[in-house]
Amino acid sequence: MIGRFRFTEFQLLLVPGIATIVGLLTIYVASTGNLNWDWQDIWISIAFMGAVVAISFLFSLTKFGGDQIIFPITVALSALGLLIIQRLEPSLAALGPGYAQLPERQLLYLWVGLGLLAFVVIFIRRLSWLRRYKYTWAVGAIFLMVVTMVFGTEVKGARLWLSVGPFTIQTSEITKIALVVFLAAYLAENEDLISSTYRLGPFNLPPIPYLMPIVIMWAFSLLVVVAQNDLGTALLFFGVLLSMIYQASGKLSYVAVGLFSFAIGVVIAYERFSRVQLRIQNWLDPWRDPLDAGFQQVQSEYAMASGGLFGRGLAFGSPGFIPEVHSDYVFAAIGEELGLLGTFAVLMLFLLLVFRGYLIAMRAKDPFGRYLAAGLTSILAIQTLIILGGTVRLIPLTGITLPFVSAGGSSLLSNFLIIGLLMRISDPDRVS
Amino acid sequence: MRRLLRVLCMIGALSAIGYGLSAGSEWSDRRWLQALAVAGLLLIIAWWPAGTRYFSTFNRSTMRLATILLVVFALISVQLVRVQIVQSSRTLDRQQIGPGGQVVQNPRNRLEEHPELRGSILDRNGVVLAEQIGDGEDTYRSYPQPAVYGLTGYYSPALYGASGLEASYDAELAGRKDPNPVVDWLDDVLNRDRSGYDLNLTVDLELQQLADDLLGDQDGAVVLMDAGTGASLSLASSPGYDPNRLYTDNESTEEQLAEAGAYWREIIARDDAPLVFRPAEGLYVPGSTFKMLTASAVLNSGMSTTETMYRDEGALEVDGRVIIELNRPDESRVDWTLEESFAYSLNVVFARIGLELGAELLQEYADRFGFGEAPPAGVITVPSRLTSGETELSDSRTLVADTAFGQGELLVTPLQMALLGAAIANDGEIMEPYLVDSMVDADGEVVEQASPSVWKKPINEQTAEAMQELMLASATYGYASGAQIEGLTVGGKTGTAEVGGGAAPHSWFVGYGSDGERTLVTAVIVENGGPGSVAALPIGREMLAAAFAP
Repeated sequence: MIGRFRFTEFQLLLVPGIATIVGLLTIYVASTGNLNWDWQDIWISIAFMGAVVAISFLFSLTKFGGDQIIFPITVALSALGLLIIQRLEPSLAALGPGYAQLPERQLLYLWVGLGLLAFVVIFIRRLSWLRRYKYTWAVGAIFLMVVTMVFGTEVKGARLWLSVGPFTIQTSEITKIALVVFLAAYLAENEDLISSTYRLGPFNLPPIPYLMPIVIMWAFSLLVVVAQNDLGTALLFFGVLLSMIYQASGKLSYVAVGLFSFAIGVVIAYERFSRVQLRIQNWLDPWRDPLDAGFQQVQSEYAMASGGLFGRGLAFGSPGFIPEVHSDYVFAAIGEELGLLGTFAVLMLFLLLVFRGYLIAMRAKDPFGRYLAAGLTSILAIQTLIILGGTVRLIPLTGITLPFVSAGGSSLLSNFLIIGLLMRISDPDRVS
Repeated sequence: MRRLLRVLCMIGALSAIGYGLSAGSEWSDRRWLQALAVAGLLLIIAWWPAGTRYFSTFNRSTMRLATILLVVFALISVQLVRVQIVQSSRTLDRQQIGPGGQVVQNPRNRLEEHPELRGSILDRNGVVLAEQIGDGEDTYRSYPQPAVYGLTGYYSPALYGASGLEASYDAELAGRKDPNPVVDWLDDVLNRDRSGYDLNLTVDLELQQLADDLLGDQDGAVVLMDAGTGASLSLASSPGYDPNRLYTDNESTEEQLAEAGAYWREIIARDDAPLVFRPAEGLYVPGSTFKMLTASAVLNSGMSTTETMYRDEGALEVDGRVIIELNRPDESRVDWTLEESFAYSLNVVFARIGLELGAELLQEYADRFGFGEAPPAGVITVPSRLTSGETELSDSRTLVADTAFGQGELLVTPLQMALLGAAIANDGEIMEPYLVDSMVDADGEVVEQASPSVWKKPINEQTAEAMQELMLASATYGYASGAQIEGLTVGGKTGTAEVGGGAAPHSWFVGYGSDGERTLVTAVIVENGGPGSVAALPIGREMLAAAFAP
């Protein structure tokens, strides 16, 4: 009955599986100070891994023949995130009722995310319909952002959330995928035109008419994002757009023009918006205002420094001193408790994931699948680099989640959807 | 060509990163980021995918994109190494005073402290030197004995950390560390709170008070230790400060913090540096007491005996510099034995000996006695040194000659001089100095008991015996003759260290006394106290006499 058991995937799942259960046990034992424990104390990790293993078996049962590497990597990162959130629960619970039962909620999101991933992999046989309705996605994405801007819920000075019944959704997590789908479809159709040149008298010009929809699309989404005060997402959209255009055209000149316009944008933003100045200042010297503007960054530095090489051990550090440690600064918590070895491990996992994603793109037979895989991978890569670079003070910090690790439903669901689509594209037999 | 470019770029990137990491705090963050950006560009060139000519546009540009992302991942890794390892201790210690006077510091420092559980410090007879008074939130640390203020140090977790024994035994006093590694690990894993340990010192409060009284208003230090075991009986430092006034903890009110801050600023502004614990951290010119080392070197290397004759005509020219002899008791005599030269502290003779030994041997013997390293003493110590570090002894013959009789660029701690005396008095062996005799847990159980061990053996037994003869001669008919104590064998050496700038010289005495059972060694310095026999020697003599008093 089982045609091809996904043995590689199953083997790779063992390590994060054991690590997350033992890790949770460590957290429990360390916080209570005695060795008596119950299965109830570690049910969350077991429940998560149970769902993961079930889905892996389901893949085998349905004879899914796609990539066996990215699913375990995703699971390892999610398991680590779940572990960190459970470890942070005591200090987060003290912050207020909004933070109550965060681990349980995260588990729920993970389950839904896994379900979404499995659904895409198993039931969505063809992706051509995504390509066909490309303008629908584009317009829909813009519409969603405008709606958020007008009717959204404001959290910490940024209107990024939309309340739908009992849920609040971070809409940029949906639009980022919609935009990549649109771009992939557009680039796949106009591949040859985009890398061609366009003659105007004696000049060789880029095919401006064919680039226009992209530029308009991008400019609009960027404007909306900037108006929403969500610089991290703006940077993400911009980076993904540049990377996809480069992949389609192979022209570094496009990238150069893009980076140049970005630099101008940064200079203008720096002069016009005080919050941009503040971010640059906090990047270069958070110690100028360590109690207010630089507080988060300074606390993160202390946390990372106290980790050292081996870290202080799960539940032995004090990452709770960092505001927003469960979302923006989850990497600092990892740095404190798991040390340089832990942060390197996380970096390696993301690097493997990204390389694997590009490999899937390069192996894809049809242009749409190729561009879609590349764009989705670039989302993960650039989002990771933006938040990690900000946490370690390589670039100014812009609030954005670390894929799979940070707490938050919208981000988890959209990133699991990305993995699902990547796995779908990687299946050589069933690509549209 | 291309390969060469790649290699060069790789070397450039690695050297930019390596140089930046090793520069540590000398580089600003901004400069470091610039170096990192350059390294990133070089890495992209070095790793740029080759041989992609026949690839499709998409595959080629995807590989290039992946390369760029790989470089960014690499830069983040490098930054992590800097943040978590290279700059780690600097970041953790970093503190800053906020605009409202708040102290910005690593909150983990305070979190771990349970001041109410902190152990006490007791002298060898069980007299309390430092203890925590009160329970729970309303607690403070009391230091009832002014004579040991510098030794116990202060404890101020909310503001200034700790010093002295409070700093060097912080983990044990706070109960963060168990001497048994298995217990320590278990406590750690189970996150158990522990009461701190009490420290039973080897120090005798009465002797410490005597030293403090004898120093009086004069600045200086007194070391008294058992040469046979390395146990310190007294480590006195003058001037002192009041650690009671520096105590702060998490629960301190703003007012208490402000008071401690005001006192802190007052003592750090003073010229006489009360926070320097002089016996272990004070660096002084040793003057003639250093002749103990020069004589040990020449005897141990077999170049002389105590009876070897040296010539002293009242002056010696070394490379254009003239050393004038002021110490001869009889100016008509020019030939002196080594013993007489030592007893009368003849500078010209010791300059000759120094030149005879040469820079290399002098340096070697200094190292053998522990120069250049911080002696393990239970408190923070600083290394003594022959030269300032900018120059080498071998650079100039005048420096060798000056060093041999105790001037030059020499800087020593009183503790190091006591250890030098201890080697002579203890047949050539320096016992490892210690201050904490035992550590006792909250249940009164001894968790660690000090046991004497040999630290260094710089000279052989014959040399030590010969040196004892020299020390006895110095204390019998030489300039240290005032040190005699009835019923004891006493050897000693005085020193008058010129400090320049028109100030009075530092007054030194290093000596030992023995009743046949115990041998105690003392080192005394009185800053700007004049000749050694005037200020320092009487203090040393009193200390030895009191220590042996029944």
